Parts: sequence; structure tokens; C-alpha cells
Amino acid sequence: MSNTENIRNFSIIAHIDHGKSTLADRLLEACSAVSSRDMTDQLLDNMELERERGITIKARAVNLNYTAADGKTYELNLIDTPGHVDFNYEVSRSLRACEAALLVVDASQGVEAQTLSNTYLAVDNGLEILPVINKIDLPAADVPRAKKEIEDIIGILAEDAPCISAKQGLNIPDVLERIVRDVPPPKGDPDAPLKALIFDSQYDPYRGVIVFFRIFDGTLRTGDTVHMMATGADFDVVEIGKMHPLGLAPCGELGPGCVGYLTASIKSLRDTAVGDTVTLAARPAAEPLPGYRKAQSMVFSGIYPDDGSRYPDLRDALEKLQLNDAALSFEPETSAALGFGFRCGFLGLLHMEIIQERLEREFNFDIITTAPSVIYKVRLRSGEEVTIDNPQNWPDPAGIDCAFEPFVRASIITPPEYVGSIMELCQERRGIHKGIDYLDPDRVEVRYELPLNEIIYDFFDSLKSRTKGYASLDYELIDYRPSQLLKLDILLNGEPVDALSFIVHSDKAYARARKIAERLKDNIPRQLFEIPVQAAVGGKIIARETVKALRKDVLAKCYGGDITRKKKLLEKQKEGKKRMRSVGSVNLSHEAFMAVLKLDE
Amino acid sequence: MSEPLGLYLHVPFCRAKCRYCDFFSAPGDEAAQEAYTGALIRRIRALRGLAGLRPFSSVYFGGGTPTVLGRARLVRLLDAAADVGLAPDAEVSVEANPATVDRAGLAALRRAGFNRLSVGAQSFDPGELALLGRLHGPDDVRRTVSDAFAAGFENVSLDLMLGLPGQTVPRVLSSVRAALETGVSHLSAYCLKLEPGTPMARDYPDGRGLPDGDETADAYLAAAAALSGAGLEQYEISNFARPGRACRHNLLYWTLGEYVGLGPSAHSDFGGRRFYFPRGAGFSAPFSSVFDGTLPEETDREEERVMLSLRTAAGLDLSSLAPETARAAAEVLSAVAARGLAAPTETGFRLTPEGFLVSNQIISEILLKGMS
Repeated sequence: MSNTENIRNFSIIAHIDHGKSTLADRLLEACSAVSSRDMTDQLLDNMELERERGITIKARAVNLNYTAADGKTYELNLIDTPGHVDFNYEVSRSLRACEAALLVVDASQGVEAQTLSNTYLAVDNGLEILPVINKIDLPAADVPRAKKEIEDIIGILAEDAPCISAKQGLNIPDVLERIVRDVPPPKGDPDAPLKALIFDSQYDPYRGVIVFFRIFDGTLRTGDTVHMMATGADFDVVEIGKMHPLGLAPCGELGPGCVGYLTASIKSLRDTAVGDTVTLAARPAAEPLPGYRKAQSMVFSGIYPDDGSRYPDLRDALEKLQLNDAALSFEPETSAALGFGFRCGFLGLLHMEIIQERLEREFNFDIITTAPSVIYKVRLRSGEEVTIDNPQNWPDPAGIDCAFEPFVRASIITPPEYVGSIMELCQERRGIHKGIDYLDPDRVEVRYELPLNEIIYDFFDSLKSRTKGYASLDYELIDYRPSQLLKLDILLNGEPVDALSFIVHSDKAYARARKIAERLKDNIPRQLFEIPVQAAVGGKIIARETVKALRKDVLAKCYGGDITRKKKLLEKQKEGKKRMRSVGSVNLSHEAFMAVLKLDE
Repeated sequence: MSEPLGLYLHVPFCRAKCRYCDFFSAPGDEAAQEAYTGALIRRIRALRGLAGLRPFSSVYFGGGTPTVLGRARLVRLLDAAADVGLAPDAEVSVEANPATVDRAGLAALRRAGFNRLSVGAQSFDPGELALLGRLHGPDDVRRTVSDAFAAGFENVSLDLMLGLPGQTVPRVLSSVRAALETGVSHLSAYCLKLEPGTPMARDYPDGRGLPDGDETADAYLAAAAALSGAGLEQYEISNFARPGRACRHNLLYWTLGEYVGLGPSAHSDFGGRRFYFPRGAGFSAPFSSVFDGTLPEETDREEERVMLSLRTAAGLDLSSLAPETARAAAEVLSAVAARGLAAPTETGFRLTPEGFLVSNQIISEILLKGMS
């Protein structure tokens, strides 16, 4: 049994693009017996294979053996974390499985919003923070400044932080030595009842779910019957082992401090929720590890196949994605405009975009998505409370006593010159100003409380474009607040288009209605007749535009008896028409639906 | 009387490439022209004895600029076609650019049997002509037409272009009037279509700087009205003629008649198949059978019938279609007729000038409905 004295469990946290993955690769290389080229090839092959088999991302944890300068061999467990605000809960679970976190800071960029939020998350989980200054090879690198920011803003010593270039493989051994020296070895009682934290799981079509965990107390052996304390499911363990760089390495037993995997012919990821505690059915722990909560969808949108006949394929694709992504939820919905599709729930906007992109790339779908919606709560005059994740289900205004919408606490870190335009943006989005902190001469944290519904459209894009990409955003859900909400309906040629309805705050209804009518006018292809575009609240028209009738197509000659040009034009036209949705007598393109989503100029 | 059969001869030479043109042509020296004429004559002769061949009811010399070859070669080519078989009343057309052929040359062509001249005027506005990269001015057009009449051509056509940069309705109408004043009995009016890779497509990326669809539609409708008013009846989307002067050769294309095209980029619809000689070299190489080197083209008669007959004033004969297509066509056409885009005929429907402008929409609608 391995001695916990020689185990080091750590993760790497960083702002996006600060070099987390590159550093991880370098650590793998430095500890691997195989040559770096072989290993890279191998890893890539593995990933390709995984992709073919419908598995998504490479294992999120890896077990490395490192022989340190003191001559001893240490077992390093690197536990990767997802890199985005949508996956905060997953990040916090991964962090819980470690004793320390390497905080990677780009020497040319310094501390940014996610650096901060991830560091706080790590500190909240009781982790040691080991700063690492990366990208020192860049011309714009300013190591003293980066160190100073870490000390001033985050409040941890950075004076002797390793200064590296992960890209060029510079000073990587410094990092490894630091891990051995400063990451506390795990504690735990091998004879206590088993307590292991699930920090990730993956579906494998051959073995069922592979559960990745960290043992805090007790010992797990092949053949044990395990009990999932939150979901209540029991399984007979088929295999346990460690995650080596080149693949899973089975072993007979794992003790405290170990990071490993188990398989137990588990059919569904739902039984192996991230954050759950694994114990032994025969001798269960009295209490689970703290902090478990169910993944919660925050953003909902309808997803429809562009080609209606592919509805069953879309269901298959979503099911496949769900095998590996327990946070994705979906149920069938129908729209008069779009036909059969699915109401999908996501952790956040990025999660939604990832799923949409994977549907398009990996499953070759052209999809139409409806405007994203948050979950609203509505108290009816009858006293009943309903939750609404689809504008189509918005109750009759006459029956509404009070509507509530979710608010988030947002932190935006930006160079000072953009504070004005950020505040303007937040103000436009109904933000409540909560304060400004000058982190250092070049960096300001702007804090707002914002309705989530204002963030899910194009807030992030607007923020980036107003700050030339410098500002970074982090947010978390805080509460539900009463709000004057209205359902805005869009009518084309006098007929309401259900898929275009959305919920809007009453102060913004007119402006939004006008903008959407304009957008639609510009994006609805002209047809053989004139099309009125109207926006209405409760039957009252509040904005109107007109799509003029089409008067001229491209006319092709049939010169010299060559009718192929004409045929090509017609083919194109037919293809275009097939891609359109017929709503009443109006043909709507994908672009028209998407136009509704983009509000900022 | 046998079914009509057209012969198209492609002459891939031009003095200079016009800025909008992506048809197959290149400047050629004497030797290249001579070699090409020889190759074309060998192919024409090889048509002899082909199953289904009958005297040509029309011969059309297109290009390129056929007159670049010079009258002697054009006459040799026509003689070769006549040796294979030419109907006594055959329509023999040749395209000519203004000022590429003189009165004597035209007289020689007329004597040799050419009886229809199509002059690429494009515009009577000097600015527009320069913009298109044409080598001639408005007066060259007038002179070439009057030379043609003097040389004995009665059947003369002019080409005009619509949708040119800066072209307003009054300016289009003044070109149309100038064209009518020459006394021609046939006129083609084409809307500029930017072809990828041409200088004009680079000058006007995504059509920016060109009149928009509405402005071009106005110009087209004004031109069509002026021409009809002057007695030139619209018999196809882009073609207008005095009674009896419609181009019989071009009508073959729109009525699913048979034609044989020789030369690189020339298309044929013969013996139930569509095929074509690809662009570029190869046509002049030795061959064992006349259509060696051609590539097959996809053929769908039902679709072609809808697409091509709706280009003509005669319109679509619903009884010529399969029942599903006929039903779809009737549905779509009667709906658009209510908006003035089509009109009923004895056998079906035809498109109006307004309908011609959006014919792609209408035709694709019919095809989608009828074939789903």
C-alpha cells in the first residue's frame, strides 16, 4: 500500500489561455518514462479513439511518478479542472480532491477575473496556493509586475514562485520540486469506513461509467460493493486503478489520499453525480463528504433540427452527449414554427454554446436554437407558484400576481480606462452597481448585480467588444427578485411565431421590440409578397416593420444551350428554400431566428 | 417535315476580354485560328452519318467573337456545315462585335449564306461601354448595323445590358431608343450578373456599387415596356422581336429541341442526352468519333421543361408534365398570377415581365412542391 507521505494531490488553476494545459503537458512529459514525442502521439491517438467512440474529453486526472532531488519517488496526482464560470461547481469538486493548487499566471497579462475567482474557490476549499509565473519567454512578460499583482491582489507570497515557460519547457523541474516540497501530503485513516469523493465521471461504451474519485478515508478493493451516498445506488466494483499518462492501470486496492478510478458496469452517469461520496455498502460512512449539490440548469433554449426529418437523429445525438455530460438536460417540445425539437437545459451560456457546437461539428447537424431563457418564477393570483423555462408557457398576464427573475453577482476585471463603458453596459442591462475596487494601477474590479436574463443574450460579446477583449467576467447566481416581466410576441404576416417569443423587462419592452422587428426585417429574405413584422405585448402591437416584396432574382442566360448555370441557380434556391422554415406563408431562415439573439450593435 | 436540329459552333477568340465576361475565349494568332478552324471543320465533317442526323434548321456561330476569325474562315465553316446538310430555309446566325467587321465583309458573309447578325452593342452610353471594357463606341454600333442592312441582312439583333453601375431608368431607356432607331428587328436585354473571377466581380465585391434588385427591376420593366410599345414582342425573359424574327436557334434551347454544339464549352442536347465539350485544350486533338472528349451532363426532362418553358412567352403547357408536377405548377402559378406575376394561357400559364424577374423563386417553388 502506498505511503500517503509520498502522495501529492494538486490541480492547476489559471485564467483562460494562461497556459494551464501546456504546463500540464510539460509535467506529464517530465515524469513520463516514454519520450515526449511518443507520449504526445500516444495521447493524441487515445483522444482520437475516444472521440470515435463518442467519448469527449481526455481523462481529467493523471497519476505521475516523479523522482525528486531528494532521491525519493513521489506519486503526483494532477487533477484537471474545467476552465469556465459555467462549471464552477465541477471546479470546486475537483479542487476538493486536492491539497494544493498551482496558480498559473501569465507574465504578460497578470491577474485576471478567473485567476481571482478560481483562487478564491481554491482557498475556500482549504488548498495551499503555489503561484507559478508562466510565459516568461514573451517579449511583453513582466515578471516583477505579475508577482506584485499576485501579492497585492490575491495576498499570497510570490517572491520565490517558479518562473517558467511551459511552451518552451523552461524551468519545469522547479515546479515539480515545489510540488514535492510545498503540497501537503494527504491525511486519512486506511481502516476507517470508506469516503471517496467523485470529481468526474465518463461514459465508456464498453465498460460503462468510469468514475474518478479521491479517497479521503478507508480502503477500496476490487470486488467491493460500493454505495453512492447521494444517489443511493449500489454497485459491485469490477475494476479499480490509477490513471497513467498512457491509459488506465488497474490495481487491487487504493487507500487514503489515492486518486483513482473504478468501473462497475454502471449504465448511467446519473448514478455517479460529481460531488457524491462513494462508501462501502457493507460498512458505510456515517456522514458523506460535505458540499454535494445537484447540477442545476440555469439557461434553457429550444434546439430544433434544421431538417425536420432528422428529429430522431437529434434525440440520439443529445442522448449521446448526455452520456458524458450529466449537466445537459432535454425534453421534447414542439413549436408551431419549428416543428419537433427539444427544450434543453444548460449550466450557462458557454455550456449551451459547447453543446450547440458539438451537435453541429460532431453530429453534423444544422440546428436552429431559440432565444435562451432563464428560469422565471411566477406567483399566480390563485396563490400557485410556477417556474417557467420557456416563454411559450408564460401565464396569462391577468392571472399573474408577481413574477421573479434570477440575479447574479458579477465581477468584471478590466483596465481602468474601460470602467466607464462597462458601467454603461451594466446599467443598460439593468445592473445594480455594488462597488469598484482598484486592485492595482492597471486593474479594476467592477462589481454588479445583474439579472441573469440580461447576461445570457450577448453580454459577454458586448463586454469584449467594448474593452478590446481586455475585460474578464465571472458571475454566480445569488437569488430571485420580483420584476416587471412581460412576454413579447413576434407576428409575421399577422401570425404569431411561437419560437420567437421571449420574456423581457417592461422598461425594455419597447426598445427591444423595435430592435427585434428591425433585425427580423433585415434577416427575413424578401419573398414574393410583402410581410409585416410586428412585435406585440398582450395583443398590443408595439413595433412594426415591413419586409418588402422581392422584385428580382439573379437571371441566368442559357447561352449556347448551356442550361447548367440556370440549373445551378435553381439548385441553390431550392437548397435555400429547404433550409427555411415555413411559418404560415412566410419562409424564415436560420439567420432570422439567430438575429433575435443579437441585440447589441 | 423533320424535327428541327440546331448546330452551334463556338469560336473561342476575342480581341480582348470584356470585364464582365467569363465565357470561354482567348486571343488567338493567325496560326491558332487556322488550326482551330481546321479542327472545327474536321468535327463538323465527322457529324456525317451520325444516327439521327438531319439537315440543320439553324446554325449559330457564337463565342468569343466569331468575326475575329475573318470572313474566309467563317465561310469555310458554314460550307462544311452545308456539306453535312443544311435545310433550305435554315437560319444562319453569326455574332459580331461592332467594328470587327466591315460592309464588304458582311456582304461576303451574306452571300455565303449567313442571314442573321447579332451585334453585341451592350449599351449606347460611352461611359457604360468603357466600364464594361468594350472596344467600341455607340457610333460603331450604328455603323455596323447600317452596314449589315446595306450588305443585305434583314434579320439583325442587338444585345443590351441592364443593371450596370450608375444605370438609371432614363439612361436605360435612351439606350433602348437608340437601339430601336437603328431599325433592328430583334433585341436581347440581359441583366448583368457578376461572374466570380471576372474583373468586374473584383471591382464590385458582393455587388456593392451596382444598382440593387429594385432598381434593376425598374430598368428591366421600363425596357420591356418600351420594346413592346415599339412592336418588339417579348418572347423570352431577355429576348424581344418583331413578329417572325424570334431567333429560331435559341428557341430550340427553351423548347427542349435538339442541338449539337461543337467547340470547347459548347453544349449539346442530342439523341436524348445532354453533353458538352469541356473548356480548355483537347478539342483540337485527333478523335475517333465526333463526340470524343465530351462529358455527360445530368438530364431531368421534367425539371428542364418547367424551368425552360417558363422563360418563354408561350409558357408552360401543363399537359406536358407528370401529374404531380402539373398539380404543383398549377398551384404555385395560380397563386402568383393573383399577384400579377403570371397569366393563364390556353394550355397552362406564362410568366409576366414582373414574373420573369422572380422566375427562380417561382420555378424552384414548383420543383420543390412537385418533386417532394
